[in-house]
Amino acid sequence: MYSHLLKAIIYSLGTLEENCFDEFGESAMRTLSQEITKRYFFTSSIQLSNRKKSQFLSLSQAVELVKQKEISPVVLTQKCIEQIKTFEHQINAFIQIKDYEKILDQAKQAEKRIQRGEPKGILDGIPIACKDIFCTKDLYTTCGSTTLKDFQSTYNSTVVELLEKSGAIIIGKTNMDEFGMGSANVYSAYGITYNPLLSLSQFFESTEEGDKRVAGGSSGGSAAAVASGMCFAALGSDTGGSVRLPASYCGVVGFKPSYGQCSRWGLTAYANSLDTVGLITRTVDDAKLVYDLISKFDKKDTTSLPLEFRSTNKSLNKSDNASNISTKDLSGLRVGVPQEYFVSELNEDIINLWRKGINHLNSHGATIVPVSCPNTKYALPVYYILAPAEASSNLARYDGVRYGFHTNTKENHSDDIIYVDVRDQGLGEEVKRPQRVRQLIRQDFNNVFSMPNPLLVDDKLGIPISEKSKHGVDVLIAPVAISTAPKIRDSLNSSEDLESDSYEILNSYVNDVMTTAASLAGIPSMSIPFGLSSNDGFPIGLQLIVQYGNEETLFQVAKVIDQGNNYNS
Amino acid sequence: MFNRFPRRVCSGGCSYGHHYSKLNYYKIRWSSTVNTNFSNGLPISLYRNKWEAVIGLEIHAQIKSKTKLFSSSSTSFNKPVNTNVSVIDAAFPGTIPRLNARCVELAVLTSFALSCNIQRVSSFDRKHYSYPDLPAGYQITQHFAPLAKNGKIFLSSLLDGLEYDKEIRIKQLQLEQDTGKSLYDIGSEGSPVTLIDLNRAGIGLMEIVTEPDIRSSKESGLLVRKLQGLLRTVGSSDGNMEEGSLRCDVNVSVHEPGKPFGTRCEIKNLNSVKFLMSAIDAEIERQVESLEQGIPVIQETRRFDVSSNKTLRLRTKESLMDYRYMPEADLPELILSDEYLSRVYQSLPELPDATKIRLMRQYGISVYDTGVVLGEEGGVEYFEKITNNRNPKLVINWITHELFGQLKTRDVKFIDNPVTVEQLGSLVDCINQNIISGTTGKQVLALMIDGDARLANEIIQAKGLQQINDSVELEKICKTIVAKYPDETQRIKKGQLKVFKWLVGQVMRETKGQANPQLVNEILKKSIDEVNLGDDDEVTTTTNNNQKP
Repeated sequence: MYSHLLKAIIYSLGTLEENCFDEFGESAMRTLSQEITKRYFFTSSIQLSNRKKSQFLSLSQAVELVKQKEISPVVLTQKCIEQIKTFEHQINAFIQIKDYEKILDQAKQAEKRIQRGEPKGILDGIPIACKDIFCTKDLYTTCGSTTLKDFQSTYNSTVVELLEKSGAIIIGKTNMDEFGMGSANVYSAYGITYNPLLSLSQFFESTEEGDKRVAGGSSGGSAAAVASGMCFAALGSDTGGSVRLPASYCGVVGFKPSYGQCSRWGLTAYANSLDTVGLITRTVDDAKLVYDLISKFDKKDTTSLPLEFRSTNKSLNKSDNASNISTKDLSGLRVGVPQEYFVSELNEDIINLWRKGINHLNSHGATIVPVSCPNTKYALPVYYILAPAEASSNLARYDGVRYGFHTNTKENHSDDIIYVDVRDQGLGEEVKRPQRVRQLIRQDFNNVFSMPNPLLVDDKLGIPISEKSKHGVDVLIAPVAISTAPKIRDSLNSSEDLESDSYEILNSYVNDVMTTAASLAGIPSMSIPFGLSSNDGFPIGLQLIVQYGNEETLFQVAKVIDQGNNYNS
Repeated sequence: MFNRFPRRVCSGGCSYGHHYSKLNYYKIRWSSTVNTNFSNGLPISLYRNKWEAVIGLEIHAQIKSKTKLFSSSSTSFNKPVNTNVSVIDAAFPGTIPRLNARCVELAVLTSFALSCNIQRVSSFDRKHYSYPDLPAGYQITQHFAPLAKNGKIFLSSLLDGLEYDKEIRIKQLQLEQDTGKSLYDIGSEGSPVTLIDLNRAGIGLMEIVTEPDIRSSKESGLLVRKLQGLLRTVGSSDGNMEEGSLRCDVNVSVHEPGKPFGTRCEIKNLNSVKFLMSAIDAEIERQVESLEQGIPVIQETRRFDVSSNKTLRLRTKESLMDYRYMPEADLPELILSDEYLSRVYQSLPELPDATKIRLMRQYGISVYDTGVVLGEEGGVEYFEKITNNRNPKLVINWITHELFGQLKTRDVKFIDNPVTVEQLGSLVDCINQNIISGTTGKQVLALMIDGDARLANEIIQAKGLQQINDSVELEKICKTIVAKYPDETQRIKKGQLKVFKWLVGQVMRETKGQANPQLVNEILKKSIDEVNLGDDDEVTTTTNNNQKP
C-alpha cells in the first residue's frame, strides 16, 4: 500500500517498477509522514493550464528524505531513469546519458554509505544533470558542436568535482545551443531540445512540429531535464540569460550567481567576461542548496572571487536592510521596479504577471520603488558586440589539431583550407568602446542598490566603499522574457527567408534585453516561475536582480515569489 | 678616434694601455661603404656619404622560470616531445590561464636593469592568428598596457667597445607566451606532414622593443650583447640566440639625415648576433641600392639568407596580419604595489657596468679582463674568491688566459670547470712563492682540469715538480752549460740577445723546467761574466731587454 502512495508522491507521471522499492522495504515506507503525503500527492491532469506545481519531489525534499532514510537514492535514481526512458525520445534533453547500469550502481553504493551512516555528502546518490559545456572526465564534452564530437576531457570542471564530492551522480550531459550561442536551444548539432511541458501533458505527439515549443537556450537541455523530472537539479551556464530564459520557458528556477562566485574552471568559454556557472532547479531552496556547495574559491580560476572578498560580502549581507526579512514578512525590504524593462515588445500577460509579482511582494510588506537604469538600452548592443567578439576569440582553438573534429580532406591538404583568413574581422578599438558603456550599465545598478558594490574601491581611501544609499533598493523585479516559450517555427530562421522572419529575428534579440544587463554588470539574477500565461498556458518566470555578492537577499525574496507561485494564473 | 678609449681608462688611474688591441673583441665587420663622422658630438654613420640607417630591435627573451607563464608545466629543455604540456598549454576547452608570479618577478628585475618605468597596473591581451603551433589561436601578450615602458641601454665607449657613448631607448617590455614548435616532415609516400611539439608552448617571454635609435649593425650587435649580459646577470633569461632562448627581429630603414625616416622593412628570425649584423648590413645595402636607382622601398617582412648574404621577401604589407587585439578577460589586471617593487629592487644584483667599474677600480684589472670574467656565469665570483689577499693581476691572468684557454681547448664549459677556488688559489700561491715556475704551473693546472682534485702544493710534492731555487745547485748547472757551449757564450758577449735566451732554454731543459727562471737569468749572466771579464755593460743591457714584458 505504501509503495503505491510513494509512487504517487514522488512522480505523478510515468509508470514505476514495483521492485525499485525493495531496497528500502516496507518499514522505511511507513515512516513517511502524513504531512508529506498530502503535500505532494498529485493526480495527473491533461489540461496544461490546470497543472499544479510541485509535481516532482524537489531536491531539498529528496535530500531530506534520504537523510531521514525514508527513501533510498536508488529509488530516486530509478525514477529519474524512468522519466528519461519515457520522455527523452520526445524532449531530447541529453546529448549523452551515462549507462543506466552505472548510474544505478553509483546509487546503490551511495545507499550503502547512507545505511552505514557515512554519506559522501548531502547530495549522496542524488541524480544531477550537467550542461554539456562543462568538461567531465567520464562523459564526452561536445558543447553541442560537431567540432567536439566524442571529445573526452582529461579533467573535471571544478563545479562537477564539487558536486561529485558531495555525492551527486552526474547522470548525463544536457543539450545546448552550440557553444552556448543561442536562446532557444534549436542550434545544437545534436538536435532541438523541445519544451517538456507538451510531453508531460501528453500533447507532444498531437502537436505539429512547427507548433511545438522550444525549451529556451542555451541551457535548454538542463531546464527541460529538471522540468521533466529526469534529474533533481542541473548545472547550466549563463552568459546573457542562458539559464534564466530556459528556466522561464520550462517553469523552473534559473539562477545566475555573481560573476566570480563559482569557478569557471572546466566551463568551456563562450564570452569569458560574461560567463557564469548557472543552476536550474525546481525550487529556490534547491538552488540555494546547490549554490552553497559550488560557490567556492578556486585558485585555478583567476577570476574566482578571493576569500577575503567573500567574507566582506557576508558582513555586508548581514548589515543589509533585508537581513531581518522572513518568508512571511518583507517589511523593510525595498523592491525596485526598473522602468526601462517596460519595453514595447512585452506581451500583455507578461506585464500582468509582473504586476502580480510586484503586488505579491507588496502584500508581504515590501516597499515598492520605481527606479531608473537609463543605460539599460545600451545593454543589448554592447552585449552583441562583446559576446561575439569574445566568442570568436574563444572558438579559435577548435582547429582539430590537438583534439576534436578534423576534416580528412586528403586532396588540397594545405593550411589555407583549415585556417580561414581572419583579417577582415577587425576589432581592436571596437572592443574598448563597449567596455566603457559596460561600465555605465554597471554604474546604473550601483546607483539603484542600497548596498554598495563590494568590488568598488574608494579612489581616495583605497578601501572598499561601505556607505549605503538610503534611497537605494535591495532587489529589482523584472520579467525574464518578453513572452512564453516561442514555437519552433518562430525560432528557426532559415537564411533564405530572412525578410519575412525579420520580426522574429529581432524579437529573439529583444528577448535578451531583460537578461543581458545583469550579465554585463556581473550581478546575481534569478528567474523564478510565477504562474502560467493566460494566453497559451505556458509558464512565465519573474526575474529578481540584486547587488553584486548579495545572493542571500536574492534567495530570501525569491523564496517569497516561489511560494506565491501557483500554476493557476 | 679609437684612442679615446684607452685614454679614458688611464685617466681612471689605471694603466692597461697594452690591452688596447683586445678591445674590439666583438669582431665587428665593417661595411666598406660606411663613414662615421661626428657632428655636435653625435656620431653619424653615412652609407655612400649620403644615407643614414635607422634601426629598431624587437627582442624576445625566454624567461628562465621553472614553470610556464600560465601553467605549472615544466620549462626544461630536451624533454621528449609533447611531455611538458598541460591542458592549459594545449588550449583544452574550459581551461583558464594563471599567471606565474616568478615570471613577473624576473620581468620586473629585467625592467629595473633596463631602467624602465615599471607600470603599477598592466594588463593582458589576446593577439589572434592561426597557426598549428599556437594552440589557442591567439597569443596572450600585453599589447595595450605593457609591464614596463621607457627604459634605456647605455653603450659606453669606456666599457662596450663603441667609439662613442650612446643611449638607446627601450620603448617597452612586455610579458607574453611562447608558441609551440612546428616540425616539417616530408613523410612517407610523398605526403608531407607537419608535426607539432607543444613543449615550448606557453613558456614565458619578455618582449623588449627598442626605439628606432640604432644607426648601425655594430650598435645593434653591441646592444644585443649588452642585453644578453644584463639578462644573464639578473638571471631572467639564458639569452642564448643559438639555442633560441633569445630571438631577434629587426626593423631597418634608410634616409638622408634631416629628412623624415624612410619606409621600414622587418627582418625576422635572426638566430645569432653575427647573422643579425650581417642581415642589417645586407638590408641597408639593398635599400640604399634600391633608392639610388629610384625604386622606393616597400614595407614588408623579410628573412635573411645566410648563404647568399641577402635578405629575401617573406610577405608584403598587403598580407600583414590584423591581430584583432582584445583584452584577455580570464586574467585580471596585474597590479604591482610599491612594497613589491621595492622588495624586488632590493634583490637586484650588481649590474655588469657597475661590476666592470668596480673590478677595475678595486683590483686594477683591465676592462678586457673584466669583460671576460663577466662573460662566464659565476666568473666574477670565482675571480673574487681567489683574489682574496692574492695579487689580482696574477689571479686574473691565470683565470682568463690559462684556465679559460685550457678549458676551451678541452671543450669544457666554465660552468663545468672542475678546478675549485682553493685549487687555483693554491696554484697561484705556489707560483707567487716561487715554488714552481709558470711553465710548471700550466702543467699542474692541466692535471687539475683532468681531474686531480688535490691542491697545487700536494700535486707538486707528489710529482716532484718543485722549482729549483738553490743558487749553488743552479750555478753548478749554469757553469756546466756555459762550458758546454763556448761559441754561444762568445756570441752573447757580442750582444746577441737571442742566443742568451737559447742558453737559458738549455738550462731549463737540463732542469726539466723546474729551475727558477729569474735565478737562472741572474746566475747564467754571472756565469757568462765569469768566463770572460769585460763587456759587462753589454750583457747587462741584453738581459734587461729580455726581461721586458
